[in-house]
Amino acid sequence: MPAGMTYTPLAKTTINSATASSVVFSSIPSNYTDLIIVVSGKNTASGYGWGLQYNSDTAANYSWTMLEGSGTAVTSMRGGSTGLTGQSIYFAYNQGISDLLSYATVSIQNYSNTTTNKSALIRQNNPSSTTYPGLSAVVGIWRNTAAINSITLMVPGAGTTIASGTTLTLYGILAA
Amino acid sequence: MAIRSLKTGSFSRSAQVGNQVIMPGSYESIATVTVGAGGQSSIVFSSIPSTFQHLQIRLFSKNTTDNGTIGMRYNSDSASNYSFHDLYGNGTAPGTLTAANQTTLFACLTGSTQAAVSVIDILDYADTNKFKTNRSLIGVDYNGSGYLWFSSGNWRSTSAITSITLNATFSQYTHAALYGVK
Repeated sequence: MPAGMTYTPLAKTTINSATASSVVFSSIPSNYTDLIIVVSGKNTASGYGWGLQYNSDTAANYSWTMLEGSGTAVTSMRGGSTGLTGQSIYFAYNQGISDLLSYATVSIQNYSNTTTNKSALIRQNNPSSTTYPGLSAVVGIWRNTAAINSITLMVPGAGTTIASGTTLTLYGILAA
Repeated sequence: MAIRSLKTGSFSRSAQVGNQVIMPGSYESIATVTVGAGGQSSIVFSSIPSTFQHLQIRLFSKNTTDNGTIGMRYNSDSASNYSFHDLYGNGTAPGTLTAANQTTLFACLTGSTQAAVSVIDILDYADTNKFKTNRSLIGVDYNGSGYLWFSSGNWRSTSAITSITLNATFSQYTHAALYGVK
């Protein structure tokens, strides 16, 4: 394998105005092994997390398990096939304050296979000193064996959008 | 052809210096194992070159049972030279555990109805002046149950890691990939 081809940036989106509530990476090539998405930014309103959907599937085909620490407490929660939290993989990527951005890394492994459901691991931190500080990680499942060819990252709460300056970068990882 | 920035000294893979810089060869795939029909009881990465700084294993594991454990050993060492600390959540409550003087590290959970996934970083694996430390993020979700798990492990040996063995009953479609980071 040619050197430098293992970890490849595929697409990058920078939000220039706070009017969008979602970002879509589409036409994802199937020749990689895993996908990585790095998100740096914030929402425009506090208290809303982000959701992850695949192939425009908005049905309740997602579930997730989360572990979160706020600095004063550790909690674990889950979302399943009912309600909004079952319609995406939820990760608590809350409002940043001024220049304190939040960061999330999404790892989607074996995304292009057509025999198993799709798993994602997400690490996220929000350095905000207000209501929703946090360090968290999530494992999420999409109950579908289809290859992932598009990924939607969204802020599903009413009254919030993605803040201007937020960047989202998609990488492909290629195994030998 | 790599272009070197006169300003920063960094290399870029593209002709537009200032783009995302990924040093050619800085993250390389070393080996991959995909388990076929019939399964297998272990996955071994052997003859690991010493030319990288760190290793990363990206594991997508299908097994015959849910919520078992996948053990990890270095250089076939089966003595009580391992220890680890874990922080985990089961969807309703957090938990923590520690284990000393173990004969294996904890690499991942097992997943039967759903695959379990993990990303394992092994730092300074070839350094003969240090014990070896790994950092792992592990998860499996079954739509109503599951775990998110952090694990930090230690191998009390200064030997360079030349082989890694993952032990579990692996089913078809398990995929394990080893990467080197410079």
